[in-house]
Amino acid sequence: MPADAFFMFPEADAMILAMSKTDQGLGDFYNLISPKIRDSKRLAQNASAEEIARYAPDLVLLKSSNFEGTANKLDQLGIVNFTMELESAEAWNSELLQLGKLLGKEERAQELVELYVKRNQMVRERIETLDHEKLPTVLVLQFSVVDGTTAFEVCPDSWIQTQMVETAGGVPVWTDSGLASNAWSKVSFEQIAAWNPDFIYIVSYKTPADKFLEAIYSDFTWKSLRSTQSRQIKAMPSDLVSFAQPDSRWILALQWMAANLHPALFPGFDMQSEVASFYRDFYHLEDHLIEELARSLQGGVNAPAMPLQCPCNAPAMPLQ
Amino acid sequence: MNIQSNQYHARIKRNRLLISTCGGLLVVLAFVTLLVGRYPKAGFTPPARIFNDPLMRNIIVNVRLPRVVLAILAGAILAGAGFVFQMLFSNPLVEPGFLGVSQGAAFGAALVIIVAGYSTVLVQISATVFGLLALALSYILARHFRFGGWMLRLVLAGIAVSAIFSSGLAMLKLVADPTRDLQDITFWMMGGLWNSTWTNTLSVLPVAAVSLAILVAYRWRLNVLSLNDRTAHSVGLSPNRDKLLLLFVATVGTTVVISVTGLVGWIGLIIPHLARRLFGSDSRHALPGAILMGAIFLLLCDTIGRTMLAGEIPLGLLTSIIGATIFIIILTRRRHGANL
Amino acid sequence: MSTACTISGLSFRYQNAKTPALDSFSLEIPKGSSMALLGPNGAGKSTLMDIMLRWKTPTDGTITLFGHPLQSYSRKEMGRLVALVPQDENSNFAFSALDYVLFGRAPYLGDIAQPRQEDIDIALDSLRQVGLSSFAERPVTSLSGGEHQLLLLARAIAQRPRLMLLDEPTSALDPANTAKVLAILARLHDQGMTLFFTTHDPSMAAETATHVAMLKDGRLLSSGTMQKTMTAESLSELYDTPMATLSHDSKLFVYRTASDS
Repeated sequence: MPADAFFMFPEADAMILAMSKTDQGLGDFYNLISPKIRDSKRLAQNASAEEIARYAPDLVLLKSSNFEGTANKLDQLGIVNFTMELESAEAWNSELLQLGKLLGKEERAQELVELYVKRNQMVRERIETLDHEKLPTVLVLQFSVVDGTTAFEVCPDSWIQTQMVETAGGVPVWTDSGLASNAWSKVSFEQIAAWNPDFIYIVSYKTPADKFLEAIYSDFTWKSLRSTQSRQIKAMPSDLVSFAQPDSRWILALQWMAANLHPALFPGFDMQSEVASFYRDFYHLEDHLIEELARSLQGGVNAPAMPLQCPCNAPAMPLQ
Repeated sequence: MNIQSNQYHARIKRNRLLISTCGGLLVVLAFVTLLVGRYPKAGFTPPARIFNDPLMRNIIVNVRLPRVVLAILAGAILAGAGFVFQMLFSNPLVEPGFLGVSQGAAFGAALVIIVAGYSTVLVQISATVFGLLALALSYILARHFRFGGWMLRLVLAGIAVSAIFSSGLAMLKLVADPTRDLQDITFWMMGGLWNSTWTNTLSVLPVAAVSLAILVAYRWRLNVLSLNDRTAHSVGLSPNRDKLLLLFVATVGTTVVISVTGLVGWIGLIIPHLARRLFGSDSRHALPGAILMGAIFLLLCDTIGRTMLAGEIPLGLLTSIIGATIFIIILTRRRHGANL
Repeated sequence: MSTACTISGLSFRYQNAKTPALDSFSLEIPKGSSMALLGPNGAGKSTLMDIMLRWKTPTDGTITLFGHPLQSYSRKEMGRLVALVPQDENSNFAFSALDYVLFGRAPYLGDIAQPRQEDIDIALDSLRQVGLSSFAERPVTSLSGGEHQLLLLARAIAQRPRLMLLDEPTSALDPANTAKVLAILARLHDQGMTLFFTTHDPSMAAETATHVAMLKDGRLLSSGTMQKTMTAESLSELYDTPMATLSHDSKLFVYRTASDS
């Protein structure tokens, strides 16, 4: 998310900020970076250009999928704005550099890009050694619980989740299926069974994905799937929010997935230490804060979940 | 007089045969659609596979069968209720969706989910209460409008009430805590059967089935109730009592199903018209015919929606497109003098 | 019991009406008679019929039907005793003529019953009686005005009532259809049915009715046999306009005389 990108610049703390609410997971971690944020008022996610203009910002950051119209209006109002896409490794690199330019912090931006490239490279190098004919099939599946109904959804080919799978040395099963290109598409259990992937990674943006795992492994219909039988259905890692999205922590999801798909290539992979080093390098968080975050880490690691702050208490819906 | 008697009986026989054919077609389709889906490949899979593949069996019994049953039930009750509404309001242009019943039901269901979390019983009750409320509101408004004849007033009132509850639903979306369960309005407004399981299918089966049974039992009476109230009264009926009962039953059946499938429009309007074209205006045959045709139609739409692409096509989308096309065709082709 | 219907002291006022529609109205309808109810427009004729049907409730007064109070009959019994031929009726659905007449059999069928063969036979017979046999399978929406009126009559006949109420049965008909309707009414009368019909055409009443009642401003002006009651004086008073009668060929003709001449 643009906000994650922004906070990687240490000077962010000193700037005057207005941010929109986070409606995912357990909230965002910006409070840990800057106590000021905790007390500041949050904008609505769909705030209009006018509303934003009230704050007389020097710079407005927007996520492309939502706010193209708003960006145009801000242009008309003469407010500097930057629409970030952040849907691929390349996008993170180039857009971070641009953000650095806008903030006048090109050096830091360069530093960040190199940090990303390093982690990405580390994965790629090892994956390249594999025989590309024999890569495992992977499904990234969102469990979305709305209106009391549970739906399975897959993401468009162009999104970062798809790219993650490919980089991590897997074959995404849902590409080229004629699905929507700009939103999650519902698929039926039948379709999942027809794909019958080797690995399934569950993503859930509002309710902790772990809760669904219990239901899946005890459900009669899921038992016949290959990935159920080999216990390769896992929850994508998340702490406060899921890492499997255009969030700065996408790189952690990538690393984790690669290590999970090809454990032989990543001996000694320790998710907790990777997460800790991430927060240190990218956000300069202090150790005690990193420990707090670690406690809420779920998915990739069997850490007991202890929510930091819980603005939401979405009950987990069992599979019916 | 014998000629006329023979003609009459010939008509009855022909209609009975048609109904049996529709019923047979429904049964055949139900079996065929059980073999259609995305697994193991998109489209039809020969039944032989059932014997070798336990996952196939599993999918048929636990994934497809409840969905097929729900589709049949929903199609039946939506078409049946639409037909009954048209007779009782003496207005071939109405269906529960036009009088705000469906929107009220969706609103009621969504409201309960926000306030009390998801509970099958509460959601069904709330959907029914608000569906009935919307119906009453449409009727009362139509009585008070000072514009046009009864037909027009009723449709206008229905549009107004539908709009009120649709926007009410949208407002619930806005003000509801976005971290709770109510985020996606498309389910309610477009409908869908992807969430069908034995649990929720069986939960609506009794009420919907009883509702259908009652409506079918009254199928001849419906004809008389479509006349003006004084005439119905003069032939020994209590039109107010009968109409209230049947409206109540039709609405309850509809709202209970909507609480599980979301809003699926157009079936209540189109299918009764088609049924009358096929069976004549006598509801003795046209009502059961409409019920069977509605079931077949929704079953086909849903099967297409879950098979054609990897992703689910919203059901309301299919019924609207196909339904509206058929509607246009019906209206542009008039039989001599006959309305509908 | 020689009266089909005894009405006494009947009063009815519509909401927000300045004057009552019916004001202490009393009338005896003899059994087997064919009685015409005459009155100027808005005199309360339709209201009276609605009350006799128990479709509206009077504010005062009582009605006895075939010796028993009107309220004592069940809905079904009422349907079997009294039939209504309304002035006009539109159907939005294209029922066949036979199906339409079958509706008249409703008082003999339970809530969820279907018409039986005997009902079908009675309906076909009723169609025959009004000369619409060949229309049995035609949709009602394709019938002309006159045919429609005959159809309504057939439906009422199918009810096999003892008292038939007809609301302006010939007002919208041309002479040929009027003749048909009157012929049917005459036949019904011969078979012993009591007929009670409203009309604003005293000539038509004179032609077919055996008795006449005159209703003005909600009150009974006069009633009795045709000969005794249909006089120039009563007619002039009823319609507030000079009228005269003329006997010719043992038929009674009624006409307006020129005013102020």
